[in-house]
Amino acid sequence: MSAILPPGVTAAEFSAAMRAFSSEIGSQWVLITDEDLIPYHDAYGFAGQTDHQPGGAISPANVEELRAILRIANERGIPLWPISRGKNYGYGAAAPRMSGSVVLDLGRMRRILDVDVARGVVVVEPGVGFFDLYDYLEREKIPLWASMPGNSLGSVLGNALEYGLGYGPMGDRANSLVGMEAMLPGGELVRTGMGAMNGSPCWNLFPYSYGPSWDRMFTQSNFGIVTKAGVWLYPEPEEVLSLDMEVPDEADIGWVVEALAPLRMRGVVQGPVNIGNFMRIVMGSGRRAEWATGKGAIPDAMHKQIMDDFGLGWWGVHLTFYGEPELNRARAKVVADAFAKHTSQRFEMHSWKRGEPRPPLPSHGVPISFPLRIANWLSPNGGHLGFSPVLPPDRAAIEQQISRSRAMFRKFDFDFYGGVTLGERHVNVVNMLAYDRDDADMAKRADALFRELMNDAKTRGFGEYRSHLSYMDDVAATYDFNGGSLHRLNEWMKDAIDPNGILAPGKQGIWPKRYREAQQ
Amino acid sequence: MICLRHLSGALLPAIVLVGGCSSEPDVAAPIPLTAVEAVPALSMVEGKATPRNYAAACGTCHDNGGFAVRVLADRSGPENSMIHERNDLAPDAIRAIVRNGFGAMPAMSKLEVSDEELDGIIAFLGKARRGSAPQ
Repeated sequence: MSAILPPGVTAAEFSAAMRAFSSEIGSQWVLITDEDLIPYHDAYGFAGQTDHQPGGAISPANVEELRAILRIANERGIPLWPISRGKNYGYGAAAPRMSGSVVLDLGRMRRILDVDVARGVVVVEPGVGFFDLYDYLEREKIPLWASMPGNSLGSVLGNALEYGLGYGPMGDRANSLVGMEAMLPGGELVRTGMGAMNGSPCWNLFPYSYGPSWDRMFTQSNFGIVTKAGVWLYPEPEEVLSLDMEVPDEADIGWVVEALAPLRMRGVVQGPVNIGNFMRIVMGSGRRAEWATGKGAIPDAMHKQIMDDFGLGWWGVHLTFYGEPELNRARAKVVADAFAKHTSQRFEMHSWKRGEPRPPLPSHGVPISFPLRIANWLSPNGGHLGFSPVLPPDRAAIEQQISRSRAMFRKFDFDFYGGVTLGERHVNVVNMLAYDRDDADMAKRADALFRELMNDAKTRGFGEYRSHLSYMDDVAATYDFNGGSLHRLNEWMKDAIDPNGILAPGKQGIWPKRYREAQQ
Repeated sequence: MICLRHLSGALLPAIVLVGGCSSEPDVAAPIPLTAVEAVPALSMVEGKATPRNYAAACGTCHDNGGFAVRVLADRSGPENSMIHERNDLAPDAIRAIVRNGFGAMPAMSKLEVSDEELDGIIAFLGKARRGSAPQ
């Protein structure tokens, strides 16, 4: 039996609850020993980290078993921490926000339930991973592509519910979720959108229905457990046309965003644009020993040499167009003309045509895992942590953010893995750091850097949209309009829909009443 | 000329690293990717009884230019980067690494890969080393 218990629950009560879970779903799907719970700690967390330890782990096979688990949890006051596949690396992976929570592993609910080829929709359960979906579409020769993330090991639904961003026209994944089925903490099953009507063929086609839309209630929340959802896929394009340019200077990011933002807003550029700095490539190369011996940041003076070695600029601009070749070329021409106002460089271009073997790239709908190699940058026991505030796509704001981020990374002696992801009317500025999990000093510096990045962004009105477990309360507190009225709304909602406070206590800083009172 | 180095903003698998990139000034004449190798099928052990076989549970990282292939190449050299080709991994060592994690490799739970499935994977790795794995 694990020594970690939920707050206010005795060992005897906890044991009895776990026995009750076992009797409902089978003891092989209930884990309670420290040894068995190792995978439910934060895989890339700092050594000695104690705030997010699991008390147990259970895995239902279906909605009926899930309902039974919720009934027992409500009866016995056992907090549950739902995960889809637990691959949320850099954000806490499979670990719970509150120690002692029982991880509710939905990985066994792994069915691809329906594919509507004509409409480009797939309905999946939370355990379905990006590799599963890709494998299925390939095997069945279904001409649809899913948007893939850089680390594709995770769950299709889990990633979308956490606002994951990625490649391709459907790269804003939360917006590609259309029509959910969710179980409320009390066990009631609801369907959102047109799925609220029995027999509707439009459940996953129209994002609204009649009356309020509750879909967003289940994203980054602890108000319910999504048990299945529709995901919009992109029809296999006739052609993928890629434009690539390495721009040489750190300050170039300003004009690059200035040139692309209106084109992204008008739909000339399809899907999020991922612009990464050279360190994003270098830190995934496994070649650190060529330039550094200690654990400190590689000096700026060496950057030029490294960029030359890799054939990279300070920023890599990578655009991908999907569709008919004529349209792709027309779009590419508009982008090339916009860039020509700022640089004499030309884009390198490549194309993939339907029927050709697909390159193993997420931009082409193929899942990958290799970007996780950054976990090996500083140490065999490495990890990574990101801060990605939301900014307007304004040149001055982005230049200032990059400059300030760079200064803070220098101050705390970390290599700056930077990126800018351009949405329709915003950017996320990626600030990623890699660390040695066993280095206590580095843990302190990483924590200090994250907090300084967060507080600095807040002073300019910029907030994070997603965070590691350890910073959920802090990030939530930065959303302070009207004395934090959104947070109060979340708490009211939490107490109304989950009066026993069993579902994911503390997620995104939302605590149920029983734990709020205990903290006070 | 094939030029794939910068396609996605991330370092590409070795199989598509083709040198000699050059700027292409003509928007109307993009470069085809016809020389790119196909993505290998993920299922290396088709027909295996276990639902989580080597390909599904391990191959996402340990095959196809995945993360673990590269990390192992960093640490032990390219010749040791593919675990199904190695002879130095004892069954108990594999079991311990899967359950406890090892370095950058996260641990995998019994709920994700059962003990029985793990036994099947270990057996597959043994057969692969002896060159008799089902293909």
